[in-house]
Amino acid sequence: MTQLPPYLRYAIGIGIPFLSVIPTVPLLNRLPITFWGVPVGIWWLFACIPLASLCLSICWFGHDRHQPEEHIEADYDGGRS
Amino acid sequence: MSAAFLAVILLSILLALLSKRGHLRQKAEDFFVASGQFSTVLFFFLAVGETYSITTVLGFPGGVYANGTGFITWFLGYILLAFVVGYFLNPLIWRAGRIHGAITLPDLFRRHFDSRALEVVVACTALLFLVPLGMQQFLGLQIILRELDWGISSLMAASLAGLLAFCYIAISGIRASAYVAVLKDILLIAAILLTGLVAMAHWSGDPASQAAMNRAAQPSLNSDMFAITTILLQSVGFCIVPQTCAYIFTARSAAAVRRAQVTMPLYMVMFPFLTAIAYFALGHLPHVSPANDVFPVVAKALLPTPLVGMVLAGAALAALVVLTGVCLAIGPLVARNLVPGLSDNQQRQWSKVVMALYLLLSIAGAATSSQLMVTINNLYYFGMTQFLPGMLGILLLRRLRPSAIIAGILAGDAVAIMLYEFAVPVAGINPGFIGLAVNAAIVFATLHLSPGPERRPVASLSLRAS
Repeated sequence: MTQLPPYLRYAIGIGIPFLSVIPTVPLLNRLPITFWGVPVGIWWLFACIPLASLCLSICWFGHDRHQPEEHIEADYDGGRS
Repeated sequence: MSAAFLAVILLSILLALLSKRGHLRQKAEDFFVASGQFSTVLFFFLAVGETYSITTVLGFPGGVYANGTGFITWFLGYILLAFVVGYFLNPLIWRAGRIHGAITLPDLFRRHFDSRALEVVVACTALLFLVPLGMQQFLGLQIILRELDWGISSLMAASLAGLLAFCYIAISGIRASAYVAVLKDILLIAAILLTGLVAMAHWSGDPASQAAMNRAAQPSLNSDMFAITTILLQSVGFCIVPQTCAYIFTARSAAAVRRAQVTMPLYMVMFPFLTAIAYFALGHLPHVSPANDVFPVVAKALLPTPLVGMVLAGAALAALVVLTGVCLAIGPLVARNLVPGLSDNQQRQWSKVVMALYLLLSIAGAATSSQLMVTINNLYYFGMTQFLPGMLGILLLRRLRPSAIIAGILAGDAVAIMLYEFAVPVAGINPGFIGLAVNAAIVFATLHLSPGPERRPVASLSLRAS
C-alpha cells in the first residue's frame, strides 16, 4: 500500500484541522444564522470534532502505522546524584 | 441517590486495589509513570480522564448558562487542536522521555541540557502554576456533595474527598489513577449523554435560544483576536504541561500514543450534550444560582433518583482523578527535582508527604476561596506554555544554551503576568501569547548570537528496530 508523503501527512493532520477552526469559526460566528438558538459557528465547531479524528485516522492508517516500532530502554536512575 | 453514589465510590476503590495486582513492590518509576508500560487503552483513559475535570463538567454548562455561547469558540477550539498537535508532538516527547529516563518534565530538561539550574527553574515554575488546580477540584466537589444533601459541612466533605484521593495514590500511584479513570470516563460520558438526551427531549426551544443569544456578547475584532491567540497558545501548551508529560511517559510506545491521540477528539462528543443541558436550563430553570450548579440541577430535575446518584458519582470521580494526577505530578517535582539525591524509596515517601500537604492546602484554599489562588489559576497557561521554546530545543535544536531557556521562561512569565495584572490593552491578544513571543525571541536570538555546545536533538535520532 502506498504511504502518504510527509507533506500530505502534515497538510491533512495539521493543516485541515487548524484551518477548519482558525479562522473559520470566528468568521462563521459573525453570520446571524442560528439553528435551535445555537450560532452556526458553534455547530461547525461541533462538526470539527469527528473531522479532526478523521484527519488523524488518515495520518495513522496512511503513514504512521507502517513505520517500524521504536525500541528504547529507559534508564530512570541514570544521571541522578 | 446516596446508595448509588456510594456504590460507585466503592467500586472505584476496588479498581484501585485491582490496579496493584502484579505490582506489589513498586519502584519510583512504576509509582509515577507505570514504568512506561501502559497500552493504548489505558493511556487513552488516563489522558482523557485528566483532560476533563470537574471544572469542565460543571463550568462548561455553567458558562453557557451565565454568559451565552461566546466562550465556546476558544474553549472547544483549543482542546480539539491540542489533540491534533499532540498526535505529532507527543510521540517525540515520549521518545525524549525514554532516552533520558525521565519521570517528570524537569527531568527531561536537566538530562538533555545537563543543567541543574534549568531543572530547578522548570520545577519551581510548574509548581507555582499547578497549585490552584487542586483548589478548583475541591470547589467542584463541594457543589456535587451539596446536591447529595448529606448534612455535613463543606469542609468535612472536602476532607473526605481529599482522603479518598490520597488513598487512590497510596494504593498504587499512577496505576490506580488510570484504573479509576476508566470507570470515571465511562460513567461520566454516559451521565452527560443521558442527561443531554433527556434535556433535548424536554427542550421547548425558543425561550432558551433567545436567552442564550441575549447573554452572548457580539463578536468583535478584539474577541476574535483573543479566541485565535488563546487557541494557538493553549493547544500547544496543553501538550507540555507537567501532568501531560507524565501521562505520555506512561505509554508503552510512540505508536500507543498516536493511536490514542486519533480517538481522543471523539470524547469531545460530550460538549454538544452539555450545551443542550445549559439550553434546557435557560428555558426551563431560569434562576439557577450559582451558574455552575446547572448540570447537577438539571440531572436532578430530569432523571430518576438512583441515576442522579450515578451522575453525581461520575462528576465526583472526575475531580478525584484529576486530583490524583496533579498530586502525582507535584510529588516528584519536589522529591525528585527540588530535593536532589533521595533514594528510590525516599522519593516515594517524600512524594506522599508532599501530596498530603498539597491536598490540605487545596482544601484550605477552597474553604477560603483565596483570591490569590483564583488569580494564579487564570495565569495557568501563561506560565505553562513558557516551556515550549525549551521543549523545541530538546526535540529539534542543536546549540541551545540552558541559560537562554531560563531567561526566556522568566521573561515570558514576567511579561504575561504584568500584562494581565495591569490590564494593558493589547488589541485582545492573549497576554500569555505575547509572553511566549518574548520568550521565543530571547531563546532564538541567543541561539544565533551565542550558540552553545552541540547536542543531538531528539527528533534527529534514529531509533527504529531493524
